[in-house]
Amino acid sequence: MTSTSGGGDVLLRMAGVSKRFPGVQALDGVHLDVRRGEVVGLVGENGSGKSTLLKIAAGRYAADAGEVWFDGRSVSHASPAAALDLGIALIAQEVQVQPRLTVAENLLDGRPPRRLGLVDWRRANRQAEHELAELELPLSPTMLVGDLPLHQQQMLAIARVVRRRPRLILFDEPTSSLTGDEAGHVYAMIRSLAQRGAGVVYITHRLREYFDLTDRVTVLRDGRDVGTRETATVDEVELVRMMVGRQQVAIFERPAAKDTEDLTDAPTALEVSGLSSSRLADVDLRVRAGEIVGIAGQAGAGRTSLAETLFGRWPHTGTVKVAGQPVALGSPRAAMGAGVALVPEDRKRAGLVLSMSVRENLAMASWSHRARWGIRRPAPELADTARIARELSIKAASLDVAAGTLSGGNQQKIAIGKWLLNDLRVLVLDEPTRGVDVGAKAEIYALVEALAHRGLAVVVVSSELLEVLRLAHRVVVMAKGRVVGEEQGAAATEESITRLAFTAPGPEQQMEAAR
Amino acid sequence: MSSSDDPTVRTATVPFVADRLTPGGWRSRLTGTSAPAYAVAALLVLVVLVELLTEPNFSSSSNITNLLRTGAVPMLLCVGMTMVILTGGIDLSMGGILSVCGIAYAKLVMSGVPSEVALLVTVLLGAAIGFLVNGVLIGRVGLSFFVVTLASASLLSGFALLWSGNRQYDLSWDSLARTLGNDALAGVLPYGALLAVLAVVVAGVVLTYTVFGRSVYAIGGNPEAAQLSGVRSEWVVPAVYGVSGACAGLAGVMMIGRQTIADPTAGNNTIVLYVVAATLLAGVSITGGSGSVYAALIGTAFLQVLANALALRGFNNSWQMVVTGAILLVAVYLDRVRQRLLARRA
Repeated sequence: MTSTSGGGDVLLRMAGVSKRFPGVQALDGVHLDVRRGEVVGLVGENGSGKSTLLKIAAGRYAADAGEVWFDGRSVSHASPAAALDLGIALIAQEVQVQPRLTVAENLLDGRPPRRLGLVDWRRANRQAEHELAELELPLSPTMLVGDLPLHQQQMLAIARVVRRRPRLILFDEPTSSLTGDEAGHVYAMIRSLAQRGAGVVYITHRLREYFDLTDRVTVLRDGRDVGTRETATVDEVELVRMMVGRQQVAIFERPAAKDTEDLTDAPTALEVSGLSSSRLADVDLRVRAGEIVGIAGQAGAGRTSLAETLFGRWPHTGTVKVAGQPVALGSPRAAMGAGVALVPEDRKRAGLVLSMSVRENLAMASWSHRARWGIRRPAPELADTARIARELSIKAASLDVAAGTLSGGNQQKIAIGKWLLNDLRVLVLDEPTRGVDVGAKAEIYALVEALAHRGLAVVVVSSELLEVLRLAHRVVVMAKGRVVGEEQGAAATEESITRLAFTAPGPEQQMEAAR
Repeated sequence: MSSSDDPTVRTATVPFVADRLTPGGWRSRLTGTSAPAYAVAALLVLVVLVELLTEPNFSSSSNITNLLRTGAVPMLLCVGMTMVILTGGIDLSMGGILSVCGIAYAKLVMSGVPSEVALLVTVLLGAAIGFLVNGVLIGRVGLSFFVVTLASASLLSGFALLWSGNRQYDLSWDSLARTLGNDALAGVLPYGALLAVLAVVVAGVVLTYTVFGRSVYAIGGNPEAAQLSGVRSEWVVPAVYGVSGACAGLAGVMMIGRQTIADPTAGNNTIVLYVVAATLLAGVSITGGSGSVYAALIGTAFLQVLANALALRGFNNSWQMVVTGAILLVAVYLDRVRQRLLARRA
């Protein structure tokens, strides 16, 4: 059993693991050890490669280079099913349940008890009921999973994995959609798994959790591992420094000039009052021309709903004024007409047409302005897109390659840049640097500030507090679809914002996690 | 469109970060999205060469004319089908529209309406059915394209039979239909084929040089991103079904000319599936957003020439259907292999 693979105490060893995706080196020679009975935290910024590493361990991706050993055996080429059979379970970030099936079917995971080859429903439901009670989950076995609120779906997804007694469990932000009590419940599950000798890898976006839960932490930055520490020997400051890099801490430093800017005379560009919808409750928001307002809050607080509602994606009530004029935000086109633009959080799903060229993606939002009688005019289109590409220093072999071949940072610049060809007053950015490397992140911050300087009202929605603190003149904190607090950017700290976000009134079951 | 040699772009760009191939050059022809079109074109040339060398009847002018004549209707249908498939949909009702429009044309000319007017009304009828029935239900109401066009296919095919009383009308006397479906310029180039090629060129220009055309690609490539960029999906989607209906309407009249009768079953499911196969063969992606009307032209031409070659060797229609199906499977399999290889290298 023991060999070069570690063996003995080491349950999982990943050595020199590399993985490349089109346009980005997601992992570069990463090393990770997990011992039996140990909880290892995997720490890093968005896009540092944490999720990719876990997916390789679980057989969902094949590594380009490097080795993976589990229990002394090489599992570098295991399929997801083979990894599961070995006892490696992944609880992914996205909640993975079958919404059209019942709680019992999901829990028993396609292996319900059978009689004469047919599913024995009575026994299946009884068995599920028994197991749910054991895990202290208050769910009825016959309910449709799709009818459950998101946090209960996530609990079920975790329970489904835990009941199989896996030997290694990989958690990728399991608590982001959970309430405080449920998160506590998950912590207890994790501790009992570790006590039974299972290995656990844990990813979370809340740094505190690493200190509450893990024995050791391995830190990733831009796809490289920058070190492993005993959790007890590090503090939060050092962890952040490892995450972002000593020289890179600077990119999260707030420019001093920001706090001396006087915006009180600037006209109000965006004025929202009483904005309500199925996910928002009576939201008021004022943004001056030239001002950057950060929207913070937990997952599910309604940040993305607010951003998308401002862009006319969802039915709503309440009034919105742009530059003093009331506007009806009935559709994205109507919002565009009013001078509002949205850079959506998921640029691959909603921001870009990856199969089309860089140029066409840049031109898309302003096609109808430029065209005459519906016919494209190539000359202005070439000139406009080339200008934006130059201004934003979009790196591509040519503007005619497919947008999908570019790195995340360059794709994000396209998603922002396409709006700059329109007559814009309000720019809403949802997670502007998700999946973007550190260099591009700094460029995007500079770009957002330059746009504000030009007189745009900017709304930045972000789950990264450091980002909000870096950019915003003013931070608005949301919880459960409401605005629960506001702070001046200069005065705000991670602690003060987190406190606001968590002291919101009790959970509403209907408020599903932010889309 | 050509812009990689635009000087302003050169200065604006910096070395590329990803190690993907740059566009242009023979390597991208073998690996890019138009690789299937080049491959099928090469096969087409190969089949033509083999036929020229081994089958004396192939190059006879009557055979060529016949080939073009029979290819005209599927080609025209492919233009509409390509636009629909580029948006990520499919139009299974083209046959039904073709049948209804054929009967409509027959009823009009038999009641004394001038043929030219009848033709115009027929094409507009096809467009209206496509736009108002398929297009609105799919693009506005948001129903599944598959279910909607499947249902309207059945509905329209049945309606054509009811409307005609399950009769065929003899229209051998109608000179306009005969011109479109049968006659040939200088006795060699069938007018129908000229019309189909014209339709291909017009569609190609529209798809490349108009906002509408680029919207078609954007919607097929990523409907959500297109909508969030202000693309008017609620008009573009109904419009492509309208174009598809118009193509079917015109094809209905051409079919009358070719067969000298108006047949309520002219647009059967076989022809629709054949058109889908021809469209997909040379790389129009079934998931939308990728491919071109020229690829569809090449696909249709290849299947037509192959069918002709088989017929000259005495294989009947059944064999042609078997071969078409087999070729389509091989083509999509090879394209998947190509994509895997590309993904691995990326």
